[in-house]
Amino acid sequence: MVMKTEFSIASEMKNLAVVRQRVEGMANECGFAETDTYQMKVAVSEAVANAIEHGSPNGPKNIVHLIIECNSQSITIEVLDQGVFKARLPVTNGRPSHRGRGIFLMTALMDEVNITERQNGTLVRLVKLKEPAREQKQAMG
Amino acid sequence: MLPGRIPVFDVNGEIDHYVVPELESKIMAVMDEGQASIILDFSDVSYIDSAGIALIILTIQRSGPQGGKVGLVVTNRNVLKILEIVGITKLAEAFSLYTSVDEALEDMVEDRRGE
Repeated sequence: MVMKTEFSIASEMKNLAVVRQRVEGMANECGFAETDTYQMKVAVSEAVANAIEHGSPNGPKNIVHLIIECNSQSITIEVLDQGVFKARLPVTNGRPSHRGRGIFLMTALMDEVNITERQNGTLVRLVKLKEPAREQKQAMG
Repeated sequence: MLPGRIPVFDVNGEIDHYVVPELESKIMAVMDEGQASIILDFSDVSYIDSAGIALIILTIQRSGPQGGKVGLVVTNRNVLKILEIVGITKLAEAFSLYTSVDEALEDMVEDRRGE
C-alpha cells in the first residue's frame, strides 16, 4: 500500500487549518491512530507556519508545497518553501520566541525531522512511523 | 465581570498561528484593565501549537510581576500532551493547571484570601 498526495497553498497563516485537514484525511486513510494523527498535525502545522513566516520573501504571493506519502509502515510529509533558511534565526524582540519551540515540537512529535537547504527553498521532511514499526525500530536499538 | 473577581477568558476551537494575534490582543486588553490574575478556559480548545504556547507564556510573564497568576483549564488530552511536551505543565510560579473553571476559581480565590 502506497498513497500519495501533493498540493500547494498560498503562503498565509489562514491556510494552516486546511493543511491540518489534509494531513488528517491522509493519516486516517493510512490507518494511523488518533494520537499519532494529532501529533503529526501539530508538527506539519509548525513546519508550514515556519515556511509562511520565514520562507516566503514575497508574502502571500509565495506558495508552500506539500507532499504527503504513506505506506504500511510510515507517513512522510515534505514541506517546501521559497525562502532561505539562514535568514530565520530566532529573533525574540523581548517576546517569548515560539520559533525554537516550534522546531522542538516537531522533533518531539515525529520520528524523523530533516531540514535541507535547496537552491529554490527549504525542505522540511517529517516522518512518523506506525506503532508496530516504531516498536521494531526501538527493539533494534 | 465583577470587581475583584478573577476574569475567565473563554477560548474555543483551534489555537494556531493564525488566530493567536487577535486572541493575544483580547487577552492583553483584559490584563490592561488592571487584572493581575486571569483564568484561560481552554475546555473547548481542540488544538494548540507553538504560537498558542507562546501566548500562555506571555500571559504568565505579564501576570507574575503584578503578583497575579494564570489558571489554565484544559480537558482535551491531546492538548494536554502538547503542553506536557514543552514543559509548561511543570511551571509552578504564577501558573496552575485545572480541569474545570470551578476548580480554578475556587483555588485561585483561596490563594488571594491567603495573601
